[in-house]
Amino acid sequence: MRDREICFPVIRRVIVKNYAIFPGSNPDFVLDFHKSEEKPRQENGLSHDFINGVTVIAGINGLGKTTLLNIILRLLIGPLDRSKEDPNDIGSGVHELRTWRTPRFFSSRVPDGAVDAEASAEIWFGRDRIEVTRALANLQIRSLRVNDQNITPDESQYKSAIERLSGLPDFVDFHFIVRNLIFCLEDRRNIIWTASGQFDLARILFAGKVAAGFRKQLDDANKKDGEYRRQLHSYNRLVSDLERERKRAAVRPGTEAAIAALKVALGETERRTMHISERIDAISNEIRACRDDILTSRLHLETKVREHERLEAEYVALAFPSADTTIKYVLSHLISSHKCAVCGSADSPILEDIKSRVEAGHCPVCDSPPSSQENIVSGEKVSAERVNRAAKELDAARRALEIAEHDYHQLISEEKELSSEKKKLQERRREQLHELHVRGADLPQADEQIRQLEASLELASIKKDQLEDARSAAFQKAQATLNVIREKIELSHSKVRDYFEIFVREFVAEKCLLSMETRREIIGQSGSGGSLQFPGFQVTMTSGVFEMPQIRRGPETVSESQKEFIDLAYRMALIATVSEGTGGAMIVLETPEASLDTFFINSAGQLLRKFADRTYIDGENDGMGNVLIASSNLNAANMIRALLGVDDETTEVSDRVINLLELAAPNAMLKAHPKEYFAELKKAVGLLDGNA
Amino acid sequence: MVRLSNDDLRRRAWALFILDNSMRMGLIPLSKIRFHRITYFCNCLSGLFQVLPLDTTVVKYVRGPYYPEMQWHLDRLVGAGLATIKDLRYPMDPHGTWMDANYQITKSGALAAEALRKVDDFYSINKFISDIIYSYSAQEEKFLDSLAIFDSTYGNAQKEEGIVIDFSEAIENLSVREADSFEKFAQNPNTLSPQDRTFLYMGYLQQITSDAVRKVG
Repeated sequence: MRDREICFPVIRRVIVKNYAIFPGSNPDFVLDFHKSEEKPRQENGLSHDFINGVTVIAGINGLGKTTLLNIILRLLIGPLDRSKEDPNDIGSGVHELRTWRTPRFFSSRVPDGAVDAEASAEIWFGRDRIEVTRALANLQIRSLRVNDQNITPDESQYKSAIERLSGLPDFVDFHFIVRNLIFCLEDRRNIIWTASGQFDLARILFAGKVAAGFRKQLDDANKKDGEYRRQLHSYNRLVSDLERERKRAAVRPGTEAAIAALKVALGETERRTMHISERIDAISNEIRACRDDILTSRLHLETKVREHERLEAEYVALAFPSADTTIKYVLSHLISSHKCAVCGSADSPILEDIKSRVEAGHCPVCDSPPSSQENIVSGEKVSAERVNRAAKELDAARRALEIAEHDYHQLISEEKELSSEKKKLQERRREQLHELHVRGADLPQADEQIRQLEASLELASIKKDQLEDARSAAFQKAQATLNVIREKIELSHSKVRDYFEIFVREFVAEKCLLSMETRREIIGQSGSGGSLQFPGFQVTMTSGVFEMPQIRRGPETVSESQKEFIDLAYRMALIATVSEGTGGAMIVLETPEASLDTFFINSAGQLLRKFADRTYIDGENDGMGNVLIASSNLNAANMIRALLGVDDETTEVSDRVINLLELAAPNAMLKAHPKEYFAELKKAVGLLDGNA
Repeated sequence: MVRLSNDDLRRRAWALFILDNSMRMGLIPLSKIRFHRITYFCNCLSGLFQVLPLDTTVVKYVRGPYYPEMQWHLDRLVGAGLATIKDLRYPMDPHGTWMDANYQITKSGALAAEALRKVDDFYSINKFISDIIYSYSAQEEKFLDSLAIFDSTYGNAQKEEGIVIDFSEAIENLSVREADSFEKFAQNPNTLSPQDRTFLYMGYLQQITSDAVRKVG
């Protein structure tokens, strides 16, 4: 069970003042939802109260949609970014925050440098509320209130309030959740397709207090790995210095030279052994993945064999009506599986003959065509077309399996060769050590430089071993915590999986499922001995050619739109699981309208509304509300309609639109085509029908 | 003449022993489904008997555990006259076409099994398969096809359809862990034999299967 309830932040109000991009209401573009009621115009800036459900930030390119989303983001996370963050691998960063990477993001967009510009937000966590105002020029906090109490307006007070009210392990994790789970901006960060990012989210959301310690332990393990690598580097340098000196000594005749040469050879053997061990480790992971592919492909082939066999069985039954089941089965199975159950051969010379007789409706015994037959099989009874189609599918399944088996055998033979080489090297090392030991007894005094190097090497070796021990201990500690985290994630797995299924089936027509798995990840950069077993989720999905769900290991194994929707469904599933009973939640996204066809625009809009209204809980709203903020371009009017549910008569849209045509400073495009854009907007929000 | 590999030989012997012991325990004829269910239990619980399994992986499949290679060896027994196949049918459902049939060992098959049992290594394999089938067949007929679905390893809710279940590591073999856990009920430590554990475990599976069936109504 989770230690503390986690409350996601929900923005209920945003105000932007004195920022030239949002100067205030332009009367030419006011949407007149309620003719009788005059809505107060915004004299200076932008102000919006977010009600439960979907809110659309509607505009055209260059009007400030992304800027507004970034204002909302920065109101939450302040002028901080995660250290060493890679947007393509969100879990890869270090567990600490650094100063914002683009500190002039807001000031550089306006002529006055945004000196007087400020933005405020009302952020709710369940029943608690934070009100924060930040200067847009540098994001410094100007005022801070927590549950109506004024607090010293600084970042540390803000962070501690956030940690307390969100229930998240620490502010770094809050930052991670906001940036990667709640906000889904144009950089399209993947969460389900990156193992480390997926794990980090699950850790933060499901592992409670244990989670806070783990990232530090992992950073510690990485740090110790770095120290070890540096020491290894120095050690290796000393080894090569020593080898160089010994090589020099090796040109001299006598025992000393022979020993020096032996030591050089020994060093080479050890280096090669280490290199081969690393490759063997990598290959075993590939072998495991390949083995899984073979097992699933075999099952797929089995279904195709049986499909084909059923049709062949009809033919055989017609040809040999009185034969017993064994004969019929053996014959039809031979034609479909290419294997003879009588003799065990998988390479029958008459197979092709029989197949072509079946396909042509010829007699299986004498090969007579249907025209010469008195009373047997004809193409009318066993449709050649059906047989051929099934045969084609069967061949494709067989080829897929052959490819997987070929890859597998190649890997196995590579692993075998490497293992045998490793064995030989180990044997050689033993012999070299033995010879060194024998010859060492006769060793005359080594020259001074070699002795000094040997002494330094010995010290470096001790230090290296100590650091390696420390690194191993750090890894073991992290693994022990990981095991606890795994147990906690497992407790939430079935809920995440169920919600995922609810969401993903709206987006993806194929059967798509989530499973728990354990992934062995190499930690640090040394590659040897530094791996941990991470719990994670794995996606399996059917496709046009695979009726049985296949494991999808990466985004490249699904289509471009499936990639984003599976990821979005996973976000929603995580949020739905964690926010059960703890209050509302929020998702902010830049709508991916470009990759959607018309049908999916409607179902995507419906699902996003379903998420925002929390009707995914048994189809009924549980009384709590989610907020979904989506920005959308006017060129995708259908998306805006779908998001707002304009075509659903029960939906009130007037408070769900942030109209940037009205609120933002008009750019050249808007000035050039004001009527067209306004008409487009009115159409999108349902104030004008499609033909106007 | 093609020589069978050791792996093929072991698989064929397992297939023959499964048919033979099923007949002895009254599971006659043996449906294709049950053949694969029993194969799964033999693989999964082999650790209790210190016997090397044939496979430590199985795909979680909509129709339950299924081993294409074992099916081939079963077919070969039929082709060699050591078993018969009856009631062959090809049902179709939304998951595709399937083949169902009933199998039965022939007199030659029983004699072959008898001869094989006299070879040292195969004696212990036959004994362990016989113990598993004994416990399996002691459960109520109506639950027999479902026991594997509720098995702790195969039925693990964290593994979705299409996933390869790998129980090669002892920690991942939840069935053996569950069977071992009955030790705590024994009056004296280490008194439960592998047969006892298997029997208790199958009884436990029947209980949870029956609970699940009752819940579904």
